[in-house]
Amino acid sequence: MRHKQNLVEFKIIRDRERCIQCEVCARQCAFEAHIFDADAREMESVDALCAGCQRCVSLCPTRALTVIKNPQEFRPDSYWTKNVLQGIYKQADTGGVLLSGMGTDKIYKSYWDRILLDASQVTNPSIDPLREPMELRTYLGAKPEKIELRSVGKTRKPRLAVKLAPQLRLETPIMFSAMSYGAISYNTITALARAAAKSGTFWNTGEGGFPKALYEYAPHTIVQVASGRFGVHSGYLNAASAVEIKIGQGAKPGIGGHLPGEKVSRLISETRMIPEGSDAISPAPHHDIYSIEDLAQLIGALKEATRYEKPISVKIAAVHNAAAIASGIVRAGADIVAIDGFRGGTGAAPTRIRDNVGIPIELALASVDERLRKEGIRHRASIVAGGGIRNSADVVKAIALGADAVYIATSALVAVGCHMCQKCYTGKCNWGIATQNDYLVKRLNPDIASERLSNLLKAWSREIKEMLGGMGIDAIESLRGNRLRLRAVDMTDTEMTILGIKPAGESL
Amino acid sequence: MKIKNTLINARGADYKTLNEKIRAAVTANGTARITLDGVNGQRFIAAGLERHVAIVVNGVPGNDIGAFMNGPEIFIRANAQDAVGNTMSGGLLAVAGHVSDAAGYSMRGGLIVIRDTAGYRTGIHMKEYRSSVPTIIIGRAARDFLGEYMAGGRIIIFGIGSKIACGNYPGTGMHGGAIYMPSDKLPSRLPDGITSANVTTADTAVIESAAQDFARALGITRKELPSTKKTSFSVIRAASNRPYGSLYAY
Repeated sequence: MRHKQNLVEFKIIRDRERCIQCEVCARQCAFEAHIFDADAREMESVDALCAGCQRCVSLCPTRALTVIKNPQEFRPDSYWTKNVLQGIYKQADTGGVLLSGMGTDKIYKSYWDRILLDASQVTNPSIDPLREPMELRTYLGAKPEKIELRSVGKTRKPRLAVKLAPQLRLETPIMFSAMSYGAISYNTITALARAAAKSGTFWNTGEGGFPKALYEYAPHTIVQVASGRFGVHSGYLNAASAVEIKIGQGAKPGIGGHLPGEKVSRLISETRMIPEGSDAISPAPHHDIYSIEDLAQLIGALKEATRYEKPISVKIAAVHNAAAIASGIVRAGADIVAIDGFRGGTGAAPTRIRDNVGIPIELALASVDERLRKEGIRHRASIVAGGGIRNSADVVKAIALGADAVYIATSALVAVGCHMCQKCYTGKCNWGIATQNDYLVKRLNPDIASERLSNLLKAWSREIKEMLGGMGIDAIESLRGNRLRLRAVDMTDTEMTILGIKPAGESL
Repeated sequence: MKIKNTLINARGADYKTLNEKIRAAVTANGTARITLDGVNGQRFIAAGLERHVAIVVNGVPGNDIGAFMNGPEIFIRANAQDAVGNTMSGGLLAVAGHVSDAAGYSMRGGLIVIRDTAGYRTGIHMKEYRSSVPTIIIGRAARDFLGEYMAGGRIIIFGIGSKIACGNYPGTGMHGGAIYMPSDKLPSRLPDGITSANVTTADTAVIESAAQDFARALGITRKELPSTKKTSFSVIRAASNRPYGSLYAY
């Protein structure tokens, strides 16, 4: 029989003069790439087991370790790349579907990086956000077609005569996107929940259920109802501030998810309400949704079950027909449409789907916003864009393209220690994020992690204010769908038409 | 103590209005029984209700009756439509007739009793957890893909007056729970990934208790159902609780 192909992605370089055989690297590596050779009294490393997560490099007290990309594994070829060959070898060995964690790492054009922002000069002067109030507060939910006021009492105080639909109040237009307890650790969701509460925004349970111990953060929690309906019950729906129906996810449009039985620990089993060790299978479709009418039915059932007190969100992956689908979603009665671009992350997705299915969020977002406006129904739902939002500039551009708020997840995980090794699906996350192994989970301190998340939101919010001020805008509302403040570089006419923006150099 | 009965006329009312009336009646002190007259296709009846209250439905309710509910005992004196008891957590739904597709979708607890026939994908995604074991009992038969992706709970079919107890491919993608039916009424096509076997003593006790629940819920006698002593029953179970464990290259 032929030998299994050795897939050596990384090379571990140990500086023998610096190494003090303290075994920190061995203890830190769940992939077991480092071992202590007792006979030789030396640390040894196995390159083939390395995930490239940099945990050992970061924690080595004498800085003796370096992990680099393995330089000489395959003959360089720009078409049959190392990744392509590795995939074929692995599948020839196992007959299995290739898995990946995080968002796609393939080179696709980034539209964020080809969009430039405007700033005021001389006329319509810029605003100093250090001195002037800048409004980032955002309300998500259906807005009334028109406002009517009535006067009340002797003083004829004006009062709203229109009954408002339930709204989510965000102090900054950034929320933490759905990541389930199961895909990520208990400490990580705790950190997300705390940071959302502290920063006046929301975290999203994903489809992994909502642990009772975190119900104190319910006023800052969005719960998901996905095809597997894990952990969904009346109490769950009513505890949350909003309910999100998950139709699709940017990293894997059109397919479901399997949480393997070995990750279904006691605590996971409690929140998902399934036996320990049993697979948690979320199939591709909701089996009661095959049309917009069916979707309207689930939205209706959830609104009835929560007595019309909570906004209902519908999350879809950004796909070719997203605009028409979003129109249907709004007409089906959703209060929020969440769109997840193809760069969105995941705990596990078939690699070929992650890398080849879906479209960039920039294009999907612009076309959805445009379509809803044209149909005169944009006010009936808020739009939340996610999938590859890396910094505050991406947020500003997303809002100018028509989003009310954004979802971030990968950025949030990076903030708490993720080094993007893409091995989330192994459950061996050395940073204590995408794992259920108690020994590894402890590595992420929820106090420190929530502090880091709050810092990230604070910093981004500050930067958003600076960019708004520069444009002479003092409220995030005035930026929403304000595509005149965007300009394109290095784009085709068609791309600019879809995004609804002008080329750089062309004035108003 | 006299049981307080509230009569609600559902004629011409949309589902929102009807549900508001039901919720008001449930919150009103002492109401233990609600009768809905003239129900005609209103959806979401009693959705999300968490009180222990009896509801009698006269007429045909629309889709999603009892969705997410936990506690009520609903008796439907007619046929019902799609997704009866969708994701319900507890309580009872008894239907004196047929139901359409996806009854008990992702049901987590409680009991659904269907006197006659259930549509496609009945009991899809049913799940159990500890003492919360959802159960669906069907008098006559169910259509194809019964208990698809079933992860827990029990489905019992008696096959009364039918040559087969369910359509083809019951238990497709199943990874927990059990489906019981008379051995001579198994469908001709079974999916991969399940096992079909003769029942054990413990299984027989489950079927017997289901027969009693069925009779009690529909107000008939136990004798109208097949005897567990004279009829041979089969049970379908998942071959593995990790049906797709070997799908991926790790």
